[in-house]
Amino acid sequence: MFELAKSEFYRYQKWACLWALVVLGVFLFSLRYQPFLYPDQAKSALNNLLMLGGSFMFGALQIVLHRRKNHWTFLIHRPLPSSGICNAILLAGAAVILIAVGAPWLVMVAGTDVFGSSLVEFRHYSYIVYLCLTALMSYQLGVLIVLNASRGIVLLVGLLVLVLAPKADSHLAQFAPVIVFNGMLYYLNKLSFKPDLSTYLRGPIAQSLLAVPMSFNLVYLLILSTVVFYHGPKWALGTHPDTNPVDGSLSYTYSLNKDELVYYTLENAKVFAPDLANSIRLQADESNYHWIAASVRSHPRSHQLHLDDTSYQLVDEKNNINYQFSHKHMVLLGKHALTGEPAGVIGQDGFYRSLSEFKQNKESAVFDRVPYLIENRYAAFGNTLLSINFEDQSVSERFRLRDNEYLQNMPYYMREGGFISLFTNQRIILFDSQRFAYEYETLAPNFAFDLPDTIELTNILGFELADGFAFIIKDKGHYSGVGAKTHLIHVDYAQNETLVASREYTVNRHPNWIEEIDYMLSPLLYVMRAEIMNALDEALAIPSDTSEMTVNLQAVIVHVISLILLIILGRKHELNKAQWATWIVLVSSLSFPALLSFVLLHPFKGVYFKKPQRLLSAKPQAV
Amino acid sequence: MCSEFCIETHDLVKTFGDKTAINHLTLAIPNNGIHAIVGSNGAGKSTLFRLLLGVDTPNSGSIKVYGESATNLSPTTRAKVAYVNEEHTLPTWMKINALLKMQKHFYPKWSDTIYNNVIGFFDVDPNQKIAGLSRGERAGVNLAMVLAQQASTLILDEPTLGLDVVAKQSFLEALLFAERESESTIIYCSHQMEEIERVAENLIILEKGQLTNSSTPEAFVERIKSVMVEAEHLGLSASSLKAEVFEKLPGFINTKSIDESYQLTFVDRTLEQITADLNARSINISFAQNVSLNQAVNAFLSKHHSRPSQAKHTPA
Repeated sequence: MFELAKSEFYRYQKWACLWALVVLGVFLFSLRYQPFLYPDQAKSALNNLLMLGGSFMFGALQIVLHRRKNHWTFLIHRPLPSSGICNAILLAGAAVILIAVGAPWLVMVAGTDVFGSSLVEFRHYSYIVYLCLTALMSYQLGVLIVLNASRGIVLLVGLLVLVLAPKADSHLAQFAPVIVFNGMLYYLNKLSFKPDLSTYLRGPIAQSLLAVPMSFNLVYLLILSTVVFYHGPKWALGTHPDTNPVDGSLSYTYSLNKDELVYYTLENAKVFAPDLANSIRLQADESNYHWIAASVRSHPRSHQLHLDDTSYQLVDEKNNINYQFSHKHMVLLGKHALTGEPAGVIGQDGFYRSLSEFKQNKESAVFDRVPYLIENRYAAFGNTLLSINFEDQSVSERFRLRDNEYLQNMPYYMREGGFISLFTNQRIILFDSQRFAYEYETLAPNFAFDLPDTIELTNILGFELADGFAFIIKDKGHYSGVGAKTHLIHVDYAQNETLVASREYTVNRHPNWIEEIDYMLSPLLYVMRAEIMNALDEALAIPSDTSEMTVNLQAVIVHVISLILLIILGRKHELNKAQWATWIVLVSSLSFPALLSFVLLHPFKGVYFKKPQRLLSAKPQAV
Repeated sequence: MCSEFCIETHDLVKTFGDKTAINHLTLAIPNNGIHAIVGSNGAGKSTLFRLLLGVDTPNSGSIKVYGESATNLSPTTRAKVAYVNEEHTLPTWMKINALLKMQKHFYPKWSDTIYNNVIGFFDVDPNQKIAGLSRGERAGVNLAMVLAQQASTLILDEPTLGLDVVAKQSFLEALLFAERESESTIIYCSHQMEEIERVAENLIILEKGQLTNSSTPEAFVERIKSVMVEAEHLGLSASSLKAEVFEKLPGFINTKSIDESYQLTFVDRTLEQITADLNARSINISFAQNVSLNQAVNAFLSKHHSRPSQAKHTPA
């Protein structure tokens, strides 16, 4: 087996080295514009596209070349079990991936560690491991898609979304999915690697491992299909709700101007403070409006991958010192920008001249959590906002939230109104930006209000009044709009908060079966997707509640129809008992997407629509 | 389990969509000897080999190699069967000596002596890359490696296709040399009758996926009879003669017009039977001809060979 692996590796060795050199060249060139380890989202996306896309293409190409006429026979027909040949091919491919993907990164990170002035820690190296694992996963996907007889396997590419999309909130959440998927893909590749590649995998375990992720991704395709039979025709006819907002639906509010929104919120609303409501109505036209971001973001995690960092460093320009947050020591470590020599430490209680001095006061100095670094002068983490003054070499607590209250996103600078907003798990807090910057004065919020007990928030509209501030919060309710509300909240200068009015929306812009098509197609997949994604990244907060009776009934009907169709189609394939049991369980639980997976994982030609067979000529006599 | 047959098929069927490539084929190839498989294009030869090696699965019927189902060949059985295809597929990125080193690892019975003896028929540099070899040199390397494996059965699927005269000669000499040295079974597929005539002990003919002959070449030639007749006196055109007279004769295969005479070819008819059939139609035989293997096979296969219709090819 190793001889075969060596031979296969030599086939691509030169290309892998060439690719690694080119990538290394690009990395070195990028140093002109920013430090290599700078967490640039665009760079990260391009890196993923090239490395993961390239790995996928390589896996597919490797097998395409082997599948050519006579080449497959040459590969397979040797005194080795198929699994041994498969292992050899995959081992060689993995070695190529490690060179092409891992080597340039290792050179750059190690080089930065040894020769550069940037802080390099274990997490920077662990990113290389993560990248290589993800590249291996992409490679195995490419191999499997070409190897397997079913072309529907291409849907498994969606597994990459589960790995890349969530900002994992633990090491387990970071590495477990990619390790598990690599194992699963390896198992499927071994099963698919057989002399006759035209045969489909029939084992219950293999089919289940394929059907479940395929079903997940089929849901998205089915949602997209609504463009064909619903959205497209409506747009063509000019009756689409996006261009013809449905009055009485929450989505109608998206078409309104800011001041119109105030009136609309109060229209047909439950008014709890009529005087305030009238006052707001009168002031609405002349008010200054500001959008306040209210999206939940995962707080930086200790030892997270460096590309997940929201900020890179604080810079003491006068002394030419860069301070980067050390996840190992949980403080900001300084290094001279030119020489890279250590140059002090910033703890949450102040500046220290050296790491050893810091260690003597370690308990009070270390940050409780990895902070957001903002505007080169603030560090925000947990329920604390610190101000860092390079002139005075001091650190002061600028603001502290309540106990059990924590930031859900970075502080947001509202340029229009000159406010800084903090979005916490309990409140929205607004600070005047000039007072915020004047650190010699105790900071108190200008306005703050407790968030209602909502399911999902969107952007919040705030507007200034003579006697305070008003906010309109849109609560989307259930994801499809059922139970959607808008709340009008007033906060005066004394921080007295009043819920002025709430309006409930009972009309949807689309019919239920469009709004909730993913739930209707498979309630279990809908819940599973939400639970899995939320488990990986709690900031996603995807709703996973079940829907109302009508939609549930529709879902049941879809289940039943899917089961009936399974029985009809399954009989064409002469399934054995284990296969019947597997697919009945899959379709019963995952519904229509699982039925589509069944069709994709079994031969189609000549099974469902059999042409009348031409009469074969009579058998010849024995010669 | 030792079988006297290296390859056995029973009622084997393989279809590709509407096309039936193997049509209820029942065949048994005994161990030892050189067996030639012949057939026109699309007869099912390559499909049969693919089924033998397990890279295709039959629709029905069975196919066994040394008693093992071909759909589930063990590594031990695969070691017993060596395969050479018309492209002489080899890893082009490797050098010859590196490839040899790899192949030796897989085959415990590998014989350097046999390899060196066979490669001696060809002039190749062991340090050369496979990609740099000519077609003939690649064929030589492939054959030498395959023979060095000392497999029990050697399957050669049109191995001399595209080779020049010299390379072809070297290849056949090397093959015969190796066959003399070992007791292996050779299954040789080719369109070149002169090669078949030279090497084959058993002639298997496939037509449209069916077995139509399995005998020695001499016995097959005996099945084919060719006679010259004159039929001018019947006053019919050549096409009418063929359609109305010749094609109705039992065992008739084909006819060729030579000047004012006709050469008629028959299968599975004795000369006496042919004479009687012709006399009954007032046709006399001028003389009977000897038939070569090439002529016999060509005539035999032409019986079911497709021909373009007259209407399609009428000039504008």
